[in-house]
Amino acid sequence: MFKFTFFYLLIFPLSLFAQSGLPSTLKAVGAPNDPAVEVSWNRYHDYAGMTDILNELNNAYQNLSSLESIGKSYEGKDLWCITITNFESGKPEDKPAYYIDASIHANEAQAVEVALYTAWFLLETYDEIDFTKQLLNRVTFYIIPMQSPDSRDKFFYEPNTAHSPRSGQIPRDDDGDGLMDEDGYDDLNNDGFITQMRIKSKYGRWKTDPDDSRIMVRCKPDEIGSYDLIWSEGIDNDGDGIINEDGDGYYDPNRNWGRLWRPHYIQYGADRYPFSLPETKAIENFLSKHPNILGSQSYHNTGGMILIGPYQNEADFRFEDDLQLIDFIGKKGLELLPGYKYINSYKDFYPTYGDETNWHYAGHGIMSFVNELWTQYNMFREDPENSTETIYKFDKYLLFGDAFVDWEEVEHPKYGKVEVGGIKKTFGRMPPSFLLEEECHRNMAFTLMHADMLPQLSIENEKIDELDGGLYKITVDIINKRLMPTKLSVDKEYKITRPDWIEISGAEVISGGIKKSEYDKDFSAQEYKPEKLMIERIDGNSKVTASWLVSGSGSYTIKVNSIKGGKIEKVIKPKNTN
Amino acid sequence: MDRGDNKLGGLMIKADPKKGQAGKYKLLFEGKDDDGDGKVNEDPVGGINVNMNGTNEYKPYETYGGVHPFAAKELIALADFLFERPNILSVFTFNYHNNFDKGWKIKYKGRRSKGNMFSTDSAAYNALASDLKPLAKYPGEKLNNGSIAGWAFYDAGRFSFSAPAWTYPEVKDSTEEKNKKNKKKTDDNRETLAYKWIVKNTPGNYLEWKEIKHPDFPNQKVEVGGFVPFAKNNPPEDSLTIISKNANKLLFRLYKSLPLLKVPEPLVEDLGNDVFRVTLTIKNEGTLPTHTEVGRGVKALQPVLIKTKPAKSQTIASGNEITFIQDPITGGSAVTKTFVIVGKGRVVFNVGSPSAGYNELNVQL
Repeated sequence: MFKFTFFYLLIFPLSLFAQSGLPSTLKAVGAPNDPAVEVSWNRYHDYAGMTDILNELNNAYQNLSSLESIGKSYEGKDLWCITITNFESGKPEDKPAYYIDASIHANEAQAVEVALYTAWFLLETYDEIDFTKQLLNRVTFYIIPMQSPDSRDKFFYEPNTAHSPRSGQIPRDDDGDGLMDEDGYDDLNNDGFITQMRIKSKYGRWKTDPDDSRIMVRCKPDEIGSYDLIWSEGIDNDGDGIINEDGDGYYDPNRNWGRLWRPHYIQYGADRYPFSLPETKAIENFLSKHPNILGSQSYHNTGGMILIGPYQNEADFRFEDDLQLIDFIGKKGLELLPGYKYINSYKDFYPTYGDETNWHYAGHGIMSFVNELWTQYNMFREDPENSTETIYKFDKYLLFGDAFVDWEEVEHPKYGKVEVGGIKKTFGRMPPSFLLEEECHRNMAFTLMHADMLPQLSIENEKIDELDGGLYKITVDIINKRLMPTKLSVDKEYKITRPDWIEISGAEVISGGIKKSEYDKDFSAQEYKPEKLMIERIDGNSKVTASWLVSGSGSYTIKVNSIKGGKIEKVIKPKNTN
Repeated sequence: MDRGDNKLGGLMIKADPKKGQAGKYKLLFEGKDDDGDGKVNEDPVGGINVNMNGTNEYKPYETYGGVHPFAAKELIALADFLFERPNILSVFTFNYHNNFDKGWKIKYKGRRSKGNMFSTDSAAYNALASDLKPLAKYPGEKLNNGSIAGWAFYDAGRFSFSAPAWTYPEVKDSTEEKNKKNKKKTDDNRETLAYKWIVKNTPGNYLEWKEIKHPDFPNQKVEVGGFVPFAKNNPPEDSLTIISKNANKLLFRLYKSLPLLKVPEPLVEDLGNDVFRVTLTIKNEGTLPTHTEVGRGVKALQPVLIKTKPAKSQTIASGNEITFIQDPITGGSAVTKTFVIVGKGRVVFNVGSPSAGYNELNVQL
């Protein structure tokens, strides 16, 4: 009887809600209350977990999404891309597009969650938030949430530090002994984390912090120490006298792209040639097939930065009006991302070669940002004075010691008794559980702001004037109602994509051209094929006026066909016809 | 463009505004505006010149250069082949370049290093190039942007030599013969050399200019003529034997210049109490170094390694099981390495690298 009552009490209320379809929660603003796909945004997903979420989203929102594999990783995992737009308002390729990818460095793990959250949020709020609906009606999102799936699972399931693996899984001979990856990390205490090793020593130059004995601090010059500190847990597997010198491939997938690639001795990790890696090659193939992409975001960690190119000081990257535009958008982003800094890579950092987003810009005419996720500012809402102390304080009072592996004695083949301990791989570069959702949301908000600035074209102010001899003069304005032009200057200058077309059909075209300004009576005539006017671009928040002389009355169809600005059309008729 | 002076008859030469010349012609390849965009032949079949598509000194946004370096599948196949074969130390390319003339300048400077990064490579290169220069008989041009020969050195890490298999020889006419004393070298380019030779020997390979009617240029005079396809760059059939003999000589000398690793019997000193000091001398009796510095820089080549396998009864008191000789051992030089072994028995030393070859020594202590 007791059992029955318990069963009744527990199950009945739930089934009641399930039947009525009402959630048992009050909607918190800014998020879906009753999402079709439940995801906990306070933990990390492995490759299979991400694949499940993408499939569930794609099944739940068939009018808004499509899921495709754009290629295989080295180990044969599918590289997933989810396309999100309102498919009923137009084909994805006929709209301006925003591209998001994440975690090209697998250890930069939360990047995947931010990209995945974006896909989830867009789909789940289409019917709930008008902004999302308007955006998806006119813009396409291509999201590749996991660029390095092989190493993602290695990061999850094999012993690593917070900094590994940055590389993919193609075996490479790092040290030149003809063997591949023969001396990687060794997890001496079998906890899944590669931490530090310390050895008690009368002559060591390290000691423990008097306030927190977990922290190792360097001795002052006149102090006698008590420990030697060895940075990473491991042994000399191959007998060359060096520990951990040949682990997962040394290459860096973010130095393997097509513009200003430099060999390894100039740019560490460049690998053999541009796009020598299956993952970068697959993504480049995808980008080539989707020239409608005009804005992009590549998520990395760490340090809380909105990072922009150019990544070197080269002449063909310096287009002032492109830079002004990217500055405007990037600095606006700082308001959404407290604690983040806006950084020009080569000026404020150091030059790098063969970067992905440099290639987005120089190779595909895409305005791209790199957000370096997670900043220690988020710990106590101020920039920390002492990074190590802040981390341990945060761990002690907010994570209750969960981010730290306590020092533990183990036997080492070379050093004898050593102690192993330190910060876990899942902390330091990644947010803790309760800050992960915030990081996802704020960074997504930045990309949605940028995506909403993609061109929005419309055909307006059409005029049909009858002239002598059965001729008509037709004039229309093509208006771009958003900040971004239909093409960046780099694209215009190097002819990366073809010109925009403004076409008329429905009559024989005698002449046609673009008016220099709306105050001019005449247009400058295009000699070849005036029925298809070619213009370099349509600027942001401005318009161009097209004009034709045609013979034949009736209705005319005006089509604007811009690779990156979208395709629209409008039928126009003289006022007295129906 | 102008049609050449009387001496050159029908050859089209570019008008040089610096010399006050004005062009009289536009030179186009034979064709029509098939797609009606106002341009003739602007989108032909193909599109990448493989020899412009390499990473070294690559120039973006060039016609035929490819949308990015290594867009050409042929180049990818070549790179994969080379990188999978660390025993390839030297690459020879038959092309219109000749880099035996001036040897190599090492232009790259790393972010963290100053001065010449690859001085050993550079010295070996230039010495061999000047030695072999007489065998690289045909003059050539310097490397262009994105060349295969440039890539093979700077980005694939091998000694890279390039020379034309053949070029049209100079044709001396009487007036030039007279001027020979004043003018030691003719400044004829490949095209002029080819034209002069063809006109004299195989005139059918250069077609006279003939007027035609062209649909895209109804009101202009259009003429068709010039080099027969392939004739400009390819030798006449009867010269193939001598060409291949010349090439064989050059390639054989290059092959003979490869490193030759020799490790003679080591010096063994008995230090007492079953402790032995073993000193290995590793010689390179070839010409080129055992590997290139740039090859290590791009992780394509391996340094010479000594793998030491002591018997079960032995331990290595000084030295490691694997010892790297990181610097290349240059031609005609030697390095020594010393090990201290404790215990009697047979110790095996395996010395070498893929590009230098291997020696194995069994040393009974």
